[in-house]
Amino acid sequence: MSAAPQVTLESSDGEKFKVDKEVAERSVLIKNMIEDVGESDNPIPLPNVNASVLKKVLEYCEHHRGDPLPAADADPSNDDNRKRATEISDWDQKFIQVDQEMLFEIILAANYMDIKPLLDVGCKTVANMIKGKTPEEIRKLFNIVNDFTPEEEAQIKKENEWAEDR
Amino acid sequence: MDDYLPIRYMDLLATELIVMILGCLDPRDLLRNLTVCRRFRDAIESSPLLKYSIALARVGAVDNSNNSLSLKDKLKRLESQEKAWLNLTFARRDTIHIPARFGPFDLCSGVLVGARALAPEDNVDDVDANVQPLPDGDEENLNARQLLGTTLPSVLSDDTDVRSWSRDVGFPVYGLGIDTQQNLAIVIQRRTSQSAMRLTCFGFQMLRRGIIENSEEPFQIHLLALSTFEPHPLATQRIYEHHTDVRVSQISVRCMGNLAGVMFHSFEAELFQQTLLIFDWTTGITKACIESVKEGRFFDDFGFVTSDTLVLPVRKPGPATLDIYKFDTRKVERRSERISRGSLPTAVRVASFYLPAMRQPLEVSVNPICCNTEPPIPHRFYAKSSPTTPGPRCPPFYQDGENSLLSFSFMVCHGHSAQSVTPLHERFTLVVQRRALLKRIDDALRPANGRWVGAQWKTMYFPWNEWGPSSSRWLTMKHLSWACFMSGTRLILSPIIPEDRSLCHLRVLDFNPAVVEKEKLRQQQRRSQQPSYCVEEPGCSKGRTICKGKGKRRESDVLEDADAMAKSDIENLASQSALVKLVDEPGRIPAGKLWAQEVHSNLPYRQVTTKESFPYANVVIDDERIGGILVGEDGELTDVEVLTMYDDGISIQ
Repeated sequence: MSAAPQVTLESSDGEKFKVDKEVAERSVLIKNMIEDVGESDNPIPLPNVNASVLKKVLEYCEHHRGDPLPAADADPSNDDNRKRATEISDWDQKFIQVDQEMLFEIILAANYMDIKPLLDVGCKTVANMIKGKTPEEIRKLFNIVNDFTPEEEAQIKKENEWAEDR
Repeated sequence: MDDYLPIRYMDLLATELIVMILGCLDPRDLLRNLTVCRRFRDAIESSPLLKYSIALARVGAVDNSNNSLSLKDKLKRLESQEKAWLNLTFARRDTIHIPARFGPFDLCSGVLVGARALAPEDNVDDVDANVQPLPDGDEENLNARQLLGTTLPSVLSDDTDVRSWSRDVGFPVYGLGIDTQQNLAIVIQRRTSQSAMRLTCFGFQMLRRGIIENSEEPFQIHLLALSTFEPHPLATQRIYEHHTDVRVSQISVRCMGNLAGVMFHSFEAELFQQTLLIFDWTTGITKACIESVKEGRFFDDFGFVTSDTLVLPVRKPGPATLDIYKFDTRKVERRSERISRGSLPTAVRVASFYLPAMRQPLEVSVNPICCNTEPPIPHRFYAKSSPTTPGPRCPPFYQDGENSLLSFSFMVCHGHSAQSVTPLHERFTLVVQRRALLKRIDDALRPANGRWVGAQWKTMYFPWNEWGPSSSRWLTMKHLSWACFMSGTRLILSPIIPEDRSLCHLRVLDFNPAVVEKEKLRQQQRRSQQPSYCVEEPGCSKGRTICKGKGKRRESDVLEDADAMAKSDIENLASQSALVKLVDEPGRIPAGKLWAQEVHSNLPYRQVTTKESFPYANVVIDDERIGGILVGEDGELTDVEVLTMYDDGISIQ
């Protein structure tokens, strides 16, 4: 029998997941809830996350259970942080190879559950998809509607023409 | 399969998440995303971080993460500084007095360092008995052994006070060079020797004077920390020695990354000779020693293009070239590997970029000057400074060397022949995109297995017409007696006022593509609003435009003298604080006595000239300031007037 304390999480569609407390506490949201409510056998409800996404998120938390917690206020303007911006570790890379729907669901879940490293991986993955693409390609990729008037678009383009030949 | 209604996942994300995603992009990708949709644009506009990174890219600057100002403050300062450079408005005007007994000195990126003789009562016992008498005043220079550092005024940093620090280094200083980013001062010790004559010279990135000296002893090059003048902690050998038996008249020192370069100038057997020594200042390992006489190739100055690339403008023999050397900067622990691969050279001349051909035979002497040494190296060395510690400031951001330009100033004397007694002097400045040179080299290197190191290396040659016109600009300089200076993408000139030759205007040529494009757009908008713009603000017309009523303007595209004040310019100045001109059409210098063919150059720039006049003998520039050089009646430097460029909308008079 495992001596590690466990908690139960409940997804929006009612599925229950029993995981080690240490794993669940990768989520700052859950960690705070446990601290506020105290140990309890009642499942912790996650009304914004469905079972398939929660399963995926917990897979991430399980793999990273021993990682040091990230600094609370890493300066985003710090160059080192930005350099690392597009680097994703091998395991994370494999983990995040999912369809667009799952990718965005993971980002939303990581944001809601406050799992900063997972949110970073998700954002970087989307950024890597954007990188080097033209606005038209980006719109196509994410089904974005161009809501600029042609004049507006031309104006913004012109203002930033200098960046193209750098 | 694909005909289900697509879900717009991006719509699900809150703006802060979009900001997070876009924050992972580099500024170029970020700018492209401005036109994707309104949400993206609004997200970018809402984030100080994203706005700041775009602004940095536009200005051609890099954030200094060691500076603890908030993003908002940094952005505000960046924008205020950008505005100031566009209009040449300055927030401060300070005079830095140069003491009379100031020996060799260097003025670089907001720090002035010089060597000063100690007061006579301090050093009575130390006067070297071997020193031969010199003309008045020079004994002091010979014994200049107190290093004195002072920061120039700054608006960008929080510590705006001017700080000074000094140390008696215990040896007389012959020459020095500093690198504020690496907190490094390279100081060359005077050899105990006789001194023959004294030279005074302004020029290069630094201003310097020299005394010819002559000795069998080696030169001792001290590697000191700029902030303390104690041995630099990163230098494993605190003194680097160089043996030479020529009479050295002058020294120029430059540094980038781990490489330090010292050029020894000498005059021997009626011949100017140069020796360029390159060494790794952190390890003390010699990388190259290029001697003009031995190589049969003559040069006057050098500059670093990157921390492992050097440019050497060669004027002889044959057509002048910009020679590019690459260095093996791998660390010492790789030495075993190096030996096993045979005798690899540590410096390779990878390329020669030809300059336009000159008519032969002409006795041509070219004095090229390479000004820009803003290093594109990481700023890991930037120390966190506080108002109480000496040393250079820790600015919020600094110029990105990779997008900066190189400039070369030439003085060409021709007509030295039996028929002609008075030789012609022509002066030019050539501005070259640093990236353009590097890209060509990299492109050419890539197919050859990507490695530049190799004993079999063959130098690549690039004819002028292949590389030059698209990535450079030639400026003719009739009215300046000095070489001109450059910082980042800005070149500064001081056109003199014809009526009073002791006064000049300040003129800044900015080659930053963002600045040029913005100006282009501004003028287009202005023109569409008021068709008679030429009457309204003639100064803002394109250089090519022929102003009505001023028939004297040349109709061709021939480039005007970059430093001349056209009469129409002065008239325009009367009504504006600064005169703006966009030069985006090709420049042409006609073939003639000097040039074998018409010289084309296309790099566009935006030029701004002050209305105010200044009593400067020459001007220097760094990323935050303009320095006006004031000289006494004897032509000796007396003061540097520092104009700190900043315009937050409040400080304008």
